[in-house]
Amino acid sequence: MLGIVPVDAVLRRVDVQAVLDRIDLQALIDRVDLNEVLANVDIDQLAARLDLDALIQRIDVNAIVDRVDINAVVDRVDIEDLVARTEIGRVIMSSTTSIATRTLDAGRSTGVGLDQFVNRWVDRVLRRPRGTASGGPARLVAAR
Amino acid sequence: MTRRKNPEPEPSLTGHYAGPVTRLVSYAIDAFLVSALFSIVTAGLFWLIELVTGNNYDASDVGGLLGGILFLAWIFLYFWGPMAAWGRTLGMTIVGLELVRRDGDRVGAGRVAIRVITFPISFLLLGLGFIGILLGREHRALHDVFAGTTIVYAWDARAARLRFLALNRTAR
Repeated sequence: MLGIVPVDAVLRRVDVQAVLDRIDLQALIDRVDLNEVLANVDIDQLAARLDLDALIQRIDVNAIVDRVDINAVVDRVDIEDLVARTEIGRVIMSSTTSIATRTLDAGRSTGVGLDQFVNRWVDRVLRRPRGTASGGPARLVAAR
Repeated sequence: MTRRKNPEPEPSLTGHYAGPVTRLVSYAIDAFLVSALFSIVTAGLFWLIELVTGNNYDASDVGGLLGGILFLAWIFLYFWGPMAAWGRTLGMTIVGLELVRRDGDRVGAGRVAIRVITFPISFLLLGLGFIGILLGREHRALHDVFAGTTIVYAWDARAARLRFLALNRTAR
């Protein structure tokens, strides 16, 4: 029976677009239980079929890196915490810092501490309110 | 009251007005060095002259007045040269200070010359020229006022702080 029906000719005359327009795809999708579908999917097998190397080769890593604001990333890193909590600082220290540098650091820090001590007493004697110290030249202090 | 063995460097003080203690220490170092280097240089010169001429000379042969003038010229050069070139003397470098203009800009050779020449005035007024370092908000001496300069902390306190934190890592 079907043999005498010109299927190709019939199909050519079908308005496929009109048929598709009449289908409520949303309703169709709502009837599908995606969780059940996904539960049947073998993710491992799917991943095994992916050619990750080819995928990575198609990615322009430089273009991605160019779009990253490295300075903003570095600004978010707490360098002091990093140095204080890791071995990085110690390794750098042992290779770059001499006893003379450490002595100089300690001496200078002590000097600054004594300066602040004297300044506090002068402010107290002159009855200057706290927090009114002028700091430094605006150009230098604002730059930091 | 507890005393800290290792004072933690304060990074935010870089560029701030230097206080009286560090300035006094810096001056003491320079006062020692200017005399010591003068002695070494003159001794070296006498040795060279003796080597060339074959005669024996010592400081008394130069004469008090000429010797005084030479010493004053040496003092001027010692303070003016490095401060005009780098904004700091050897003593200031050790303590970590820098001479800048009052607005924080780099100081020129002319201002440094005024500062060095007027420096003795601060002494001649019974030391009252230095009172501003102790009492003033900007810690400026009279010769700083004349030259329109000020002295600030200039050492890399942030690097020192990182070194301090690294050194004391195990103690935390």
